[in-house]
Amino acid sequence: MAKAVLLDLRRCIGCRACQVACKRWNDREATATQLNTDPKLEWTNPKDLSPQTYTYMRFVKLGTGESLKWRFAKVQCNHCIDPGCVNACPTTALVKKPDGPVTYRKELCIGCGYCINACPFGVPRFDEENKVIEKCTFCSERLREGLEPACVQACPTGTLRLMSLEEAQARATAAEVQGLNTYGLHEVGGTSWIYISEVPLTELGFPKHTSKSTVDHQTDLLAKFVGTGVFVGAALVAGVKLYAQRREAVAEAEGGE
Amino acid sequence: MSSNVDTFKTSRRDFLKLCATVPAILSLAEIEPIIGSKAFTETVGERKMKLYKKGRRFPSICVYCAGGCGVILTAVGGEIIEAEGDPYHPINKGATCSKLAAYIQLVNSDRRLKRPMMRTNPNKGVDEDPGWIYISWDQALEIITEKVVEAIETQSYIHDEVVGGETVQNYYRGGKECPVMWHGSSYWGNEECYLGKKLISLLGSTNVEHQARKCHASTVAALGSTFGFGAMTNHVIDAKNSKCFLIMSNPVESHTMEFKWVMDARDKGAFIINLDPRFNRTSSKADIYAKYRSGAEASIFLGLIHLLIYDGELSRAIDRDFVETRTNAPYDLNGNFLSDWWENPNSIFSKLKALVASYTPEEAERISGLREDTLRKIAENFFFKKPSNIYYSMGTTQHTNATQAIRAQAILQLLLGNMGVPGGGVNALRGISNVQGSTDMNLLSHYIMGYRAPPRNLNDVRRYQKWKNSDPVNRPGGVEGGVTYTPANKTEERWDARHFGTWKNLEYNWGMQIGTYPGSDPDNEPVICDMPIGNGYPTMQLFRAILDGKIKVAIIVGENNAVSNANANLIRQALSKPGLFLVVNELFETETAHFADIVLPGTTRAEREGSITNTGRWVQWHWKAVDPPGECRDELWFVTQLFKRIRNNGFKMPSELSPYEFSADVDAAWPTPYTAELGETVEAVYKEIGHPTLWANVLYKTSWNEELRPDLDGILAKRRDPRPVSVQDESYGFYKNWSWSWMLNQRVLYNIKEDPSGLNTFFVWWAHDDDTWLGLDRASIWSRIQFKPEKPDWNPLHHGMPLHNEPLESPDEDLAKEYPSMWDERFKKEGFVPVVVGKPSEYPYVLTTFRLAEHMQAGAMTRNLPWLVEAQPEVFIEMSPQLAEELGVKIGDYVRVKSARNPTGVRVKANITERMMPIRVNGRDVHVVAMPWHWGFKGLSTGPSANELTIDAVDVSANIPETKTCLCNIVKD
Repeated sequence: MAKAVLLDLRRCIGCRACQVACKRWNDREATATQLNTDPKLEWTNPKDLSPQTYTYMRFVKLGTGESLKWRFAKVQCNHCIDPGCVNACPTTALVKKPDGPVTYRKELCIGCGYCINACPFGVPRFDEENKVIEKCTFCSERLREGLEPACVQACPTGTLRLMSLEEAQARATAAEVQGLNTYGLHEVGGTSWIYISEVPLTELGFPKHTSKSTVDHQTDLLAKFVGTGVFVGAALVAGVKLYAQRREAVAEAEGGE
Repeated sequence: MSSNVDTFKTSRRDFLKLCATVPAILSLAEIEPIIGSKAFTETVGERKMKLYKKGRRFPSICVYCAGGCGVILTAVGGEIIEAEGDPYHPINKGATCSKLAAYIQLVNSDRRLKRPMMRTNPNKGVDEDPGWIYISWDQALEIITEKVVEAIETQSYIHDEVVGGETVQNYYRGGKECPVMWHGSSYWGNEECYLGKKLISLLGSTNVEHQARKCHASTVAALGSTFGFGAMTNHVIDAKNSKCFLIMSNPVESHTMEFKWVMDARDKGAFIINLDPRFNRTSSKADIYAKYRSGAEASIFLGLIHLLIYDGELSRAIDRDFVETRTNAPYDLNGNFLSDWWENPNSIFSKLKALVASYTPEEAERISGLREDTLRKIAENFFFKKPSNIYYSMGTTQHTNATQAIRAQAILQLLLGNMGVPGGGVNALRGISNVQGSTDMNLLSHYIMGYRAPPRNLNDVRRYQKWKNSDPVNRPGGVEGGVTYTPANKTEERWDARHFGTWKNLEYNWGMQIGTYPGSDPDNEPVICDMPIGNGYPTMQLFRAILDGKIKVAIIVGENNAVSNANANLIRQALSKPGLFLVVNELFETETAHFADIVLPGTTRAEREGSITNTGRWVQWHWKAVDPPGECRDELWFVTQLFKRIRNNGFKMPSELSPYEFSADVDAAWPTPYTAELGETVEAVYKEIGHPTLWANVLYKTSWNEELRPDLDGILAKRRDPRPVSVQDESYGFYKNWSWSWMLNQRVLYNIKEDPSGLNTFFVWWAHDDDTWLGLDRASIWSRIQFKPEKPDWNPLHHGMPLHNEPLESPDEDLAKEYPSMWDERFKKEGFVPVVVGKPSEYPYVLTTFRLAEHMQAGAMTRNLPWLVEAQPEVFIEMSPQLAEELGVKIGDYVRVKSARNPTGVRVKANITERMMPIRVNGRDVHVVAMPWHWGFKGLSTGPSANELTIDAVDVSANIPETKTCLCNIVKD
């Protein structure tokens, strides 16, 4: 059965248990940070996703004076129901699992970066050192063992809740009826991680998506990067790599002189 | 986000690998969805999962705040590979905060101390390199022992006294005169704290202090004198029973898991009010958030009491029945019940009414900056949405008038009838995982054990000998522990009944002699007393005593005074004092360890077992998961060995030094009287503390009960049964079969309805110490021990009820005159270095300090963990955009913050935020700025601590420093 995580940002207290729990389970290293001097995003650290950061907490100030609000939004892979990254991946390194996660096999990843361009949320990151992509895995191996993802287990307030996709969608739909904002219910055809929030997610720095499906969203991207299809793309990759390789060799040779 | 494919580089080897892989992929591609993961090598998560499934799991309790969250440690091959929230634990149900989420980085840190070290550089100071060399434990203990014995030998133990015209020679040690001090630690377990207290007491010292002095000493004084116990009245899960919260602290950041239950209550419609000088993460979830000036807490609560008594509509919220039956408000000061107390001008209620008359909402606003209409809105909600709950923490406790401000909170709750009910209470959120336990074990200079005092003078010991000589049946005071209480008539008997039972049990448990010799004529015989006589120095005075050369050996364990004490530069100066021998037992090389002569590597809670007491008084067991790394040795072993060696080095008790023979045998009782049966174990110490009849700590009586749980060897702290024992247990979330809670497993203090052993009492024999009309089983709205009629009219002690008093450094000179500070220059009396006080003309801004969810107190346990440093990388000062504009400062700019203690100031980045705003006090805008105090000059992330600026004036009733309010000046750097 497809699983989903409902992120009810009305409950989030910004404690960052999820951010650290993710680093722990996935053996991610700390990145170098300093005081965030963006007045709107003060305290947000790390500032963005990276190969070492699958998820982070974005602190957003809204309004001023008496109407000041401080909102906290966890950012991670949303695990699209029809993921653009999986469609774009030429080697099937990226896979959408039947139970929800969009995961990847690093040894299959050729570092082409198509997924990075294909992702509507800007999630996958390129690990320069190992030449592979990195992103949230929905703790796929934990789900398989009947455990919650590390971040969900860590959440003290029930902001993050693991449930069936149907239930998450039903709850988000009910929230919309109440006049609340959602994210991931409609965006790019729906995602497995669905947000509920009293303020529109776009105000919290989430990209605006009006497209109703991944295909809509990615027609251009697919055309641009993959040509006629995924498998053809895979064949082309060798060429791309060869080109890159040759260019590198040329550059090296030039550098040597 | 966008990315450019062209920028990707692939090495030749990668390319070859790729060539080998691509055909395989192509052939597999079509059937990929049905191929399991086994076809490929593992992901990071899968590798982790494989290990995780192989591992052995050990239940533990979190080391950070006092929430008492359960932790499951997974160990493989002697190494912790996962530390997560315990899904079966009733408090956190698997969840963590960011600190606990990072706990594994603490346990497995490369930065931990792993071997004992000795200083080679005789010069001490922040910039001095200690020149550490490694030594063995044996060498370290030998050196420490010599220093301790040498220091104690300078102290006299024979004291001549003229009794009945004849001179007798008394043998005892004066606790304050002992040149050996002990400081810490709330990170230690109950058994370790207990044994540390036992050791320092056997050495004849009452110069023993720890973190609790700096966090909730005023709570103990205030709640103790109002209700009987100084602890949080309810417990962590109990928040779920509340309908309204008045939060004076920042639980989201300082006590994250408490907020789990606040959110649970909010789901059921509870209303959240948060008052704080800074808009913080807790404020973000409040229905009403309002700013006020730090230091004005008492005026806000007096304003609320004013509204409750004087406002026609709001006064309906007074629970008259509760006030009449369970408080002393209907009495006069002579102890006569007045049936017309509501109008009778002699009643305590009428006196309170007169006292709060001037604290109109307008006046409360003038003092605090909290707007009158907001105060009214708070009242409208808090008074009627019962049960309503007050949460508070350092924002209220760290002031010179903190005891009074907390008393005002307590009085408000009594008038509303919010006491002794689930969901109500005055809930002190305690800061460190075992700070309740370490306080109970009285690592404090004015208590000996279980909040019982050491002998104050020789007369106390003489009376004690008479008490011992008497028939137990005829002794006044009845049975300790509040089960029954027979009022006695005399002051001394009341005091005696409270303390002597503990002395008697300590004589047994500690192998001490307390009394006269031979005992038949206590009034005229010499006093032979192994228990130190008289109180020691509270923490701030203790460091001044070092500067004065009165302390020669300081043992600081699990505490970082160089960061955490007010006016930290003074502390660092004391720690650098030539002639002071400093021993530090720590996990990391902390700022305090930097000044040490010997540093000993301690252990984390994953490496040892024992019980710890959370903020809600739950005494919970943690199991050992792995052996300590390197040469780290557990704390119980360290204390045990230390005293054995001190004894071997010739240290003798006063009774042994006297010419008389006693049966007391200190060696047989070390480390516990149960060593023969249970070995030198934590279990043996636990039994010593909580034995049903021979208990050493009266609060923990029956926490060891072999009849009830022989399967757990009687250790009720080991109980882990989350099933409810009754309908009540289930609905209120008591979990009475989970661990054990003092008193007598009561989960909500003063709750007369709680099963199975409802404690039908307020324990007023403490609340109403030392006077005659007391013995009423009622909470004290007027407090006898907070009553000193000789004090001036502006002083709350003159009335026995709270008033507002300004902080010692008040930003407003008019208010400072109208509401003088309670600070009484007590250090002058001791002849110590005076407290430096700044003027608002020179230091115009109010500086307050705060905590972050990602860091812990003095920082060693979080500033050394990369994941937490990543989240909160550096120290900063928060200020409003208005002040920033005045100063010409932009966000991220460095500023220099100065105080009268530190005119050079500290250099720190400015975080300019709309969360800070000027506060209107007495008709003008006052700028409040705020700095986290977690930082210091050691660790992965370093920076100045806010305590390098704070003021070291203390609350007169509790000796807690006023770290939450001082004046400062700021200039662009």
